Amino acid sequence: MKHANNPSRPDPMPRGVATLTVVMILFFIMAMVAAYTNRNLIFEQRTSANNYHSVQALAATEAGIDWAVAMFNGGAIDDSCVGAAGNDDFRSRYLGLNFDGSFILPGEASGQIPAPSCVMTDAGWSCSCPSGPLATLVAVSADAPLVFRVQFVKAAAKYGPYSAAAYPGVISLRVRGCTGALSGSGGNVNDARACHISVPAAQVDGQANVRVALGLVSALPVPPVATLTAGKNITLAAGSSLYASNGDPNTGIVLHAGGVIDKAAAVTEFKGPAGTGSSSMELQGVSTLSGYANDTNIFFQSLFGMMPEDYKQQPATLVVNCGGTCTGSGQLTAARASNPTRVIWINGNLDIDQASPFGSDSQPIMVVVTGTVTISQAATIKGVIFSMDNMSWSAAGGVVNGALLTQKNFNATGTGTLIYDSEIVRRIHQSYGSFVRVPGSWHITPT
Amino acid sequence: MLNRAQFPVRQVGLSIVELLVGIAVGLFVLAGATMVTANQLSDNRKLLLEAQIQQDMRAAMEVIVREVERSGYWANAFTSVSPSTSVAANPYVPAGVLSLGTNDVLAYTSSRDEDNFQQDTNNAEPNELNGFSLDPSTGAIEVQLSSNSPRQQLTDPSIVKITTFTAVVNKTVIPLPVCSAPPCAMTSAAGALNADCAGKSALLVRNVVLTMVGQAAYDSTVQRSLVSTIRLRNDQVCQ
Repeated sequence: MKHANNPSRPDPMPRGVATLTVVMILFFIMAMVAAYTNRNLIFEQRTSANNYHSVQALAATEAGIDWAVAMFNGGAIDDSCVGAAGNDDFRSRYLGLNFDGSFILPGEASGQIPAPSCVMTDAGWSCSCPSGPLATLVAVSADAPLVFRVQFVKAAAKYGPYSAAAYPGVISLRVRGCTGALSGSGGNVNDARACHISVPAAQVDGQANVRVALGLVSALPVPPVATLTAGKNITLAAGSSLYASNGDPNTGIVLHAGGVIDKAAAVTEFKGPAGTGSSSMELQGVSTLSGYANDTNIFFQSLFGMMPEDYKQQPATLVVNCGGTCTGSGQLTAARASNPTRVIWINGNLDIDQASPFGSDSQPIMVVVTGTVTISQAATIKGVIFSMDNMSWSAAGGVVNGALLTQKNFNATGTGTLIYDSEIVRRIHQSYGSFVRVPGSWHITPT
Repeated sequence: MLNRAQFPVRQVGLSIVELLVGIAVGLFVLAGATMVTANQLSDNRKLLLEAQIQQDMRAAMEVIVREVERSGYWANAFTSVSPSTSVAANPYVPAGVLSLGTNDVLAYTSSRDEDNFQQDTNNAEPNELNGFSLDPSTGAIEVQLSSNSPRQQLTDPSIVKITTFTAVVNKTVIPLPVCSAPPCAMTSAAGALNADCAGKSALLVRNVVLTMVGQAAYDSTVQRSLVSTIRLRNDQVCQ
């Protein structure tokens, strides 16, 4: 024992405490000095983080614009913006149609325009397409989740979304992208960190606001002028009967043919605007129709303003391949349920084989068929059907509200009613087709 | 009397030898510490310079990117979409490189009327003709905010001297659906079939690759470079 020889001396205090303390203080001072000398590095890192958040927010904004464009051109959705047959689509949910072709924003009168939003989760964007003004986003645990919000603005709005006149065929988007925003549901109404809530400026880590206009490339840029248009002949066989009318004074044509209208053996009744006679309601031998009837591309261009392949590939067109003949009861009904306002492009023939409604006043059908069209059952069709081949009517009954167009011949052996519905044609002309960005409209806004 | 052997006398003070040895060791330590400190200060100064030029260049790049990506903005762009009237042309042009004299200029026009479409005259006015260029004599990137005003320095040549500033514009031409001969406008007896296919024929999609190299004004060995690729958001419609 060290102190065994001197028992009178007391045991010393445990050694090393003071040394440890001093060393720790020295280490702390060294750490502070190191931090001080590296303050520039810290500053740089912070600057980089700010830049990173800023760029992320702008990227979220861009994602929001592309998402909105895709949704406008897509099919039926539910409140989570996920495809759900039988529901309204994004376009019907958020845009109404004025008579002049401009769009009405739901909730505009109350200033509570819905603002669909999305938040980035581990599984990708999780979105909310509310019917009311508040989006309901899932809560995410990430430190700085990405959120974007899409607001709809009248195209000519000046300094605000609700004040200006609308413009035909155009809708503006005001998209806000945020990082470090709160998600969660409507409980965050007054939370300034909730990017998807309509606070003046979300207090988040990073924020970008972009405004861009979307224009509609009409699915029917040149509305048909007749109830029934045929590039070649219109033949109403013996035993058939056809009631057809066009009360629209701007068009007024009932039968419009590039070839001959043969109706002698049929029972017919045609009505046009007041004061019109058969000479103006039934036009046959129209050279511009017959001249293009043998060339699908040109005939198609004259109606749709673009080549068939371009039209087919536009985002708002749904292509249906049936490997032969599509049926109204099968493929057309299914396609229509999931895509209420998209153009349905049928590769092959179409047989309307079911006596049920196809299309409605608010959501008429727009169908392009590359083959023949046969109406074999007494269906109620509201919309426009175009065939690149022959069209035949064998149904004992049935009504078409809208217009029928065939590049070649129309043959009727049954009984039918054709009514040129200018409202339905106008609706397709003004609100069907693909929304695209308007070049020159993209700009960053403060809020 | 106490016995000294029982109570040894404690040493008081330092001997000259101990002092000399202590001082010598201290000096060695001090010399080493001084060298470390000097190196640290030198590195710190370099880091500071790097941070300064980085900050200056990054700020300049950020301004340029934000300006260029919105180039071609037109407050009345929505009027170019109309089913019933003729298609108007965008009077503003997205960014491109102009060779003016010895210096290339990244030039562009865009509307300054933001959302106030009613004030937009649909003409690129003097204050809407903008551009960025490098002044080799001062080593500063300059911005021109108006065709009527002199250029202003965007970077501080007393901190950073920009040695390289290049902009490479990549263009992708996307043909638009067009009408070919024979004319697609179909007229009928009613005169109502009239396809307005005239006008647009291609969309010009651009991106600009910006490269900026700078060096510290007081130490040419301290260099930084930035490269940024900008996708111009406002595509140009070629008519």
